[in-house]
Amino acid sequence: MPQGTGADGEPQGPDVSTGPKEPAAPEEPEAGDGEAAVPEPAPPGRWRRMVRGKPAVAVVGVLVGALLGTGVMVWRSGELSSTAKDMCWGSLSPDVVSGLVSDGEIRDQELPLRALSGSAHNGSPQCRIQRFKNDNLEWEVTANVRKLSTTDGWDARQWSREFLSSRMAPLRGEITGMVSSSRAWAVLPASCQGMPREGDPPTVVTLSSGPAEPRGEERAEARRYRDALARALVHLANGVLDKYGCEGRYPEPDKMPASSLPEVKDEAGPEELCGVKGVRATRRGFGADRHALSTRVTPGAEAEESGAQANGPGAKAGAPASAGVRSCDVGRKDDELGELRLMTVEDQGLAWVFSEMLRHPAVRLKGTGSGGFSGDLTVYTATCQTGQVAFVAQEEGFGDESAALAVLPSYVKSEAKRIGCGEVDVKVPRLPS
Amino acid sequence: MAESVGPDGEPEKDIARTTRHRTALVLLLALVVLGAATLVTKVSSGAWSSTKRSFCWGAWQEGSDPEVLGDAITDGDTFARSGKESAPPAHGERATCSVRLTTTVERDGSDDEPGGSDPGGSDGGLDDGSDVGSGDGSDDGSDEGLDEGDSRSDGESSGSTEETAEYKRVNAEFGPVPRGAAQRRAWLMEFLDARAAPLPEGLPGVVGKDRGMLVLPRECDSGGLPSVVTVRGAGDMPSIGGEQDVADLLLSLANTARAKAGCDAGKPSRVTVPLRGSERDDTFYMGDSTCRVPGLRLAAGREDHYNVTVGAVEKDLQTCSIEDQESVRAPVPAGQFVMTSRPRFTALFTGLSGEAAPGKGWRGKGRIDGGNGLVTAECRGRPTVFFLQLDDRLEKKATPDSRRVFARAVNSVAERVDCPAVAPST
Repeated sequence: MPQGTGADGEPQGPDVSTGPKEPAAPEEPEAGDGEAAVPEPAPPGRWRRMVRGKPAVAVVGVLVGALLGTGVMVWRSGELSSTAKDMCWGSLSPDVVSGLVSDGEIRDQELPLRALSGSAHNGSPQCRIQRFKNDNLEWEVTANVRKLSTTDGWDARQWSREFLSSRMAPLRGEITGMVSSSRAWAVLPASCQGMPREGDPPTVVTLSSGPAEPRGEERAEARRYRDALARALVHLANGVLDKYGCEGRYPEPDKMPASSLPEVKDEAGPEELCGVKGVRATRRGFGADRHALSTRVTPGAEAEESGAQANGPGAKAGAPASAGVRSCDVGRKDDELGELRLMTVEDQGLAWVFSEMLRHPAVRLKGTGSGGFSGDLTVYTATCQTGQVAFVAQEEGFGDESAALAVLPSYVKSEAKRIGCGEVDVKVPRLPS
Repeated sequence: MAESVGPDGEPEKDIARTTRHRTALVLLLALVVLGAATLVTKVSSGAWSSTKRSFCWGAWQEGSDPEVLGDAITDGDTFARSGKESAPPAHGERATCSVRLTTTVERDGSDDEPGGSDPGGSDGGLDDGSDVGSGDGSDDGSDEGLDEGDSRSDGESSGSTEETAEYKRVNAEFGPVPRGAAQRRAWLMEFLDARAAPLPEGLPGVVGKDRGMLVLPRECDSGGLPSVVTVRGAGDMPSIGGEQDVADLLLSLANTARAKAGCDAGKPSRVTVPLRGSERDDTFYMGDSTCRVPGLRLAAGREDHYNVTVGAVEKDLQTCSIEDQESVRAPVPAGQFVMTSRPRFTALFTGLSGEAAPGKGWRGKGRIDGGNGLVTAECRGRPTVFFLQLDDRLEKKATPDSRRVFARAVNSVAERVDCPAVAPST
């Protein structure tokens, strides 16, 4: 459209451009145009001038924005997995695993996580992390998730032998479990175990690294490794909670104090076996060298502290933690304290694993509670305020007399008193020799 | 301002203007990008559902667990959801709200009895406030054109009619615990029920499948009494959902109530770890050691149908509830034993007894009155409450008598938690 042009070359007309300019002179159609003074349509506004001719830019903008938004959503939903694989059902990141196995050729295999109702017996490992060197297996860490069994004796004997050793120290905080420099276990919370009935054993996540009782451990390294195992255990538990769609996650565990490292002690005297007054290692059962015994007790359970939930909200920061099990290994130092193990199991789920053994014992034990003796395993249960408590004795082999049976009456009596269960007695028969 | 003319004769834009235009263009582009990103993010995260309502002063959102808030469609029936709420929580005052699911059922006009559509169940004395379903206007759907009760009169012929039946209801409350002794005991019986397990991470509350309770921080105290929030399922099926669901409802309500009542200065009420789940124990046994507490001797006869539930048994909390299940459909709470040294829990017993000892030889202060016993004594440096209540019928079964039963129970529990004897030995 014809536009008048002023003397400086600028188009004349109502001025709507942005720059500071001298306002143009009011428009007057030049006489020479010979047109009627019809006001021209206003030139396109500022915004329209910018966008006009640039629809492609706008489209690109929207597309980029949409992609950005999608990316944010995908990132938030966590489906963009990290480049290195998380092991054992996505629960152990490379950083966590590096605390458990040193650098090298790492291979891992895992079986699918079974549904909680089914369970694998005999602790067959479900996830293995292996370090190879020149095709030789140098180290192995295995992880497991299973419900402890009461029907076969495997858990009461073999699982407890490894995982309820007096080397195990209780974890602190809201998670229930124990850890040493070679083994770790934690209980899946009841809210994630379906509907546990009374007497149901717990479902546990476990980690095993190397032999259960390592020899010649250097203290600082044992402590470091134990912390690494505790950390991996919590990650494993959280991973399982996630896989099962259960709510809640445990926080990273604090470093465990040096005071909770297991220690072998020479026995103070046969009248106070395992640090509990009144527990007597008698000549019968322990023999003449009962004064040369050594013991190791669950760390943190030394004091006269009752086990039940000392790490709940009422506990002070320095108070000992408890997983509901107090273990004591008795024997000779050079023999890995393998003579006798005494356990007080206040955790109801774990107690159930042992008490089921009582269905068909070789010898029944009578008294305030009920119990049985089956050679290598002796179990006596009583009903305390917290529920069923199992007093357990395990011995590898015995001569003419069973140390377990010899110590049981004083053990049960003293321990019941210590945990606030009142008077509990047991009558032990003389075994035919 | 000088302006150059380009080779095609068109005036070239001034340089400054071009730069400004370019800047504005870039800005516009950035805005478009941001806008699109936000749009996509919001739409895919579902935060843009304009039809979702909220309840209880905004604490609970439709479309989440548990069932009372979720989208429940069962057997072809569609559930309608409605809510009520009183004035918002205010310091020292009681506020109530509720959410319910109702279903409308077509009934053949001829042979049904005219019946109330609310199938019984307790309402818990809920204040009637305004109907609410905020966010979407006040239409709550369920009562549209329907009567709650009879939908037709006798003699009306044929024609199917619709009845509204209440399927699920959750009642919630905020406020100080009841002041009067009898009401307080009833409240304790209900909300420290052994079926509700304590919350983790030191939160002073309990959750079960049909109820939850949280004691609010000291800032919310009023008149010397702690303020609490409670949720309670009501109706024929009082179960609300899983413990996690109840905890979620309870905590979101607590935070909203604290904000409205102006006592939310501290940390929000929150749980991150898994709930422990109630390791409780149901038993029909009632004898020398009811609740597994030696000395709590209640002689049950053959005609009795009591159910005992042992809840928490910890160093600082022990709960046990006794229920009369003579009428299986409507069990009646009959008794309760509680021990606690958790500070916010002990506050729940404030004002129930005076400063005197409960009797000669007792340590601490309290009162024993028929089937009700309360004593607060120092244990390991902390005030510890021991509390027993038995209804008249149970009180008669206390052997040798309720006073001595209380004394023996208190001492048994005191011994368990390494506390010197509180009651005289009897």
